[in-house]
Amino acid sequence: MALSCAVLLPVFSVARVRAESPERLLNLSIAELGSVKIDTVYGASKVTEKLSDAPSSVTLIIREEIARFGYRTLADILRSARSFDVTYDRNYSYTGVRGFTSLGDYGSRTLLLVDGHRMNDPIFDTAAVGTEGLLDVDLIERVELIRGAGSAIYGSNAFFGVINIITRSGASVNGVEGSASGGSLDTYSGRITLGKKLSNGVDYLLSATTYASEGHSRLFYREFNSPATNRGFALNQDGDRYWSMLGKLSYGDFTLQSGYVTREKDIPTGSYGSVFNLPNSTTDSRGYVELRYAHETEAGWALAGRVHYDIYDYSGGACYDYDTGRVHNDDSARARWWGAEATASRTFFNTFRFSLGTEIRKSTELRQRNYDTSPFANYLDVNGEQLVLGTYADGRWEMTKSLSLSAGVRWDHYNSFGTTVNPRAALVWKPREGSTVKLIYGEAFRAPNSYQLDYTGPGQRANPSLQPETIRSYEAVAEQAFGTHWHGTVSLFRNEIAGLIDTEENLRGDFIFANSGDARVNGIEAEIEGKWDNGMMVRASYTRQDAVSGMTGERLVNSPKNVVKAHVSAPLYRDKLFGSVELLYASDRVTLGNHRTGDAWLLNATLYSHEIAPGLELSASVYNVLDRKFNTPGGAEHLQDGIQQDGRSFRVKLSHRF
Amino acid sequence: MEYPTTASTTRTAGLLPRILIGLITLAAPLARAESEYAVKAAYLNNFAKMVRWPASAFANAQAPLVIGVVGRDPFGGLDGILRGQMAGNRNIEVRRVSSSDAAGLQACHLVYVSASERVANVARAVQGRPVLVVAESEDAARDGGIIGFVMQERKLKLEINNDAARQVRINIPSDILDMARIVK
Repeated sequence: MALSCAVLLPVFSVARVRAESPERLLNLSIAELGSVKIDTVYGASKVTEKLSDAPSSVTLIIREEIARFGYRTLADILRSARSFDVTYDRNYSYTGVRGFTSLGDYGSRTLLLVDGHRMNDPIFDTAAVGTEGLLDVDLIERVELIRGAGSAIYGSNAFFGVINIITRSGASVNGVEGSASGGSLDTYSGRITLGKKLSNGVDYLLSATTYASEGHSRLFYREFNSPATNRGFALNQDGDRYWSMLGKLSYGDFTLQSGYVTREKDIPTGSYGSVFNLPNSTTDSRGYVELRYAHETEAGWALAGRVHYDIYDYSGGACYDYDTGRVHNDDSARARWWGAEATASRTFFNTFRFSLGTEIRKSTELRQRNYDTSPFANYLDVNGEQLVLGTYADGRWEMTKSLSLSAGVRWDHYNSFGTTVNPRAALVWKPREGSTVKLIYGEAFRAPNSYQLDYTGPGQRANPSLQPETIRSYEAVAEQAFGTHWHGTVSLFRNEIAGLIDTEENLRGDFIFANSGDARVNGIEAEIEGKWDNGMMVRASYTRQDAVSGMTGERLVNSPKNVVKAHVSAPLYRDKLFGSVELLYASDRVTLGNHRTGDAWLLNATLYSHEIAPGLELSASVYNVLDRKFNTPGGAEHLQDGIQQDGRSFRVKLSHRF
Repeated sequence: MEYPTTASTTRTAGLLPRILIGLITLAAPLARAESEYAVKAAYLNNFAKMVRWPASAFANAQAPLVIGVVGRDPFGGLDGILRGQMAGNRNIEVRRVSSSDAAGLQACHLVYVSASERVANVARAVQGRPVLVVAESEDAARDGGIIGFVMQERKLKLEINNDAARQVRINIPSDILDMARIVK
C-alpha cells in the first residue's frame, strides 16, 4: 500500500520533508541502531569522515563482498568497481581509471596504500594489484577507492585516484584461520593466519600465504607463427608463484606492521624482443616494516605518524638472439628507502576541521643493472637517488548545515626536478537528507621515477631532466538515496593531462623518455545500488568515456568508450549460502597497431557459504563462465597487438577458523 | 562471538516492483549510512531512557538525569543533540567533566568517556557509585567501564559488563542486553 502511494506522489513533494539525521536517529530503538550502517572513509582526507562529506567520489568494497564474489586478487576487486580498469599482459597487471589505462605503466598513476602505507616503489612506481600484490585478499577488511586527483594530500602517484586497503585486525581473526584453494591451470593456494586481541589490549595478526599456478601449458601467438619460434606456441611458459606474509602488532596508540611478497612470473609473450618459448621470467619482491602512532588528545587533536623502511627487488632473466649468437641477459633493480610522516588534525568551533601533514622519503639505494651473463657484457649499472619532502594543509569548513567547502594544498620537493604545488577544492551540498552534490577540482602530479630518469641500456637513454606529469581533474557528482534500500550516483568528469612521460626516439635511434604526451578525458558515469538486510545486493553502473590524445585528437590506446558493470548477490539459504554473479562489459579498445580488440564480455559466478558448519567457509567460482575470447592491447614491449585473456576457469576454496 | 540479530522482516519477493519504484520515484529519502557519533548519541539517548538507576542516585523526583562527557566532545555538541529529550519525567542534562574531577564524575548518572581518555581512570573515580560508564574505546567494558562500543561490519554494536552494572545497582533492561555481547 505504502509503496503504491509513493508511486503516485509527485516526485519532489515527498522529498522536501527534511529530517535532521541525528534527530531521526534519536527515535530508533536499540535494535534498530545496531543495524544502522556507518560508512566512513579515511583515505580521502587522512581523517575519518562520512562518505558523503569526503571531497571525492568514493567507493567502499568490504570483506564480505570480496568473499561473495570470489575475488582472487586486488585486480579482481578493482575490475568490479565503477571507473576502474585493469589490464593484464601475462606478466603484470596495470590499473587505470576512467578511460586512461596506460600499457606498461605498472599502475603508477594510482596510489596504492596498505593501512595508509605507500606501496608504489621509487623505481617503477608500481601499484601492484595482481598476484605480484603484497596482500592476500583474505586479509582485507575493506578497500577504499577514492577517485580524482589526490596529490593535495598524498603527493606523487595520486593522479587518477587512491586505493587505500584497510587490513583485518587480529580481533577479527580471533584464533587461527586456514584456507586452501585449487583451480584451473593447476592453481593452488594456501593461507594460515593467527590473530587475536589479548585481554591486556594487545592485538596481533600473523599471516602467510603461498600460491602456485602452472598457467597455460600452451599459448598460441600468431605473431610468432614461424618454424624458428615453435610455430607461435609458448609451452609451459605461464607459471606464476608467490609467497607473502603480513604481521601486525598493536598496543594502545602504536602499531608495528610488516609485509612481504615475492613473486616469480614466467613470461610467455616473448616481450622486449626476448627469444620466444624459452624460459623468461621476472621476480618482484616488495617488503616493508613500519611503526605508526595514532592518538587523540584531550584538546581534540588527532595526531598520527609513522616511520618506515621499505624494500623492492626486481630481477628478470631472458635470452636474446644477437647477430653474434644467443645470450642470456639479466635485468634487475634494487631499491631501499625509508620515510617518516606526521599529521595533526583538529576541528574548531564544531564547523572547521583543519589538518596539517608533513612527510619525508629518502632512498638509500636505487640501483638498476643490465648485463649479459656469458659472455659477460655490462650495459647498465646505475645507482640513483631520491629525496622527497612534502607538506600539506587541508581543511573542511561546514558553512551551513547543508553546505561545506573542503580545500587543501600540498607542496612537494624532489631532488630530481624541484618543486611542485598541488591544490584541490570541493564544494559539498546536501540539499536534503539522502541527497549529496559534490563539485570537485583537483590538481595532481606523478614524479618521474628512477627507471625513467636513470635507465640507460642498449637502445635506451636516460633523461635526467624529466618533469612531473600533471593532471587537472574536474568532477560533479550527485548521489541520491531512494527509500531505504536504493542509492544512485551520477558523475560528470573531465581530466586534462599534460606532460605524460612516454618514450620517444632520438636522432641516434635510441629510445628516450620525454614529457611528450597530453590527453583529455571527458565522461559520465551512472550507478544504481540496492542493498537489503538479508544480504541481497544489486549494483549496476554504466560509464561513457572519451579519452583522446591532446595532439592528435585520436582515441587513446586501451580505452574502451562504453563500460557496463553489473553485480547481483542473493542469499540462497538464510544467511549461510549466497549466489553472486558479476558481469563486466567493455566496448572495443584501440591497440598500438591501430586495430580494435572487439568487445569484451566477462561473466563470473560464485557460490559462497559460511558457517554451514561452525567456522567453515566454502566457495566455488567460475570465471568467464561463457568462455568468451577477448584480447587486451599489448604494450610497446610486445610484438602482439592484442593479448588474449583467460577463458573459462574455476576455483574452489575452503577456509576454516579454529 | 556472534551478535544476536533482529529477525529480518525483509523479503526478496516483490523485488522487481521495488526496483521499478526505486527507479521512478524519490520516495521519502532516508540516508543509508549515518555518522558514527549521531548513532552513538542515539544510543546514549536510549540508555538514559531505558536504564534504571537506584532512587538514591537522584536528589529528588525532579532532579535531571546527568550525562557527563569526559574528554573531547566528539558529538559536535551532545547537549544540542539531546536538547528536549526526557528520561521518564526527568530532563536530560549534558555536562563536560574532567577525568580528574572525581566529584563531578560522581554527580553524573551516565558518563561518556571519549577516545582521548583512559576508561580505567574514570572507572576508578566513580568506583562503587551508580554511574553508568560508557566508553568509546573498544575494550571499555573490560577496562572497568560498563558499556563499550564496538564497530563490527560497519555497524555499531555494544559490549556490556552487566556484572559491573549490577554491583552498583544499575539495572540494564534485557532489551539492551539482548542486543549486546556480554563480557565479564
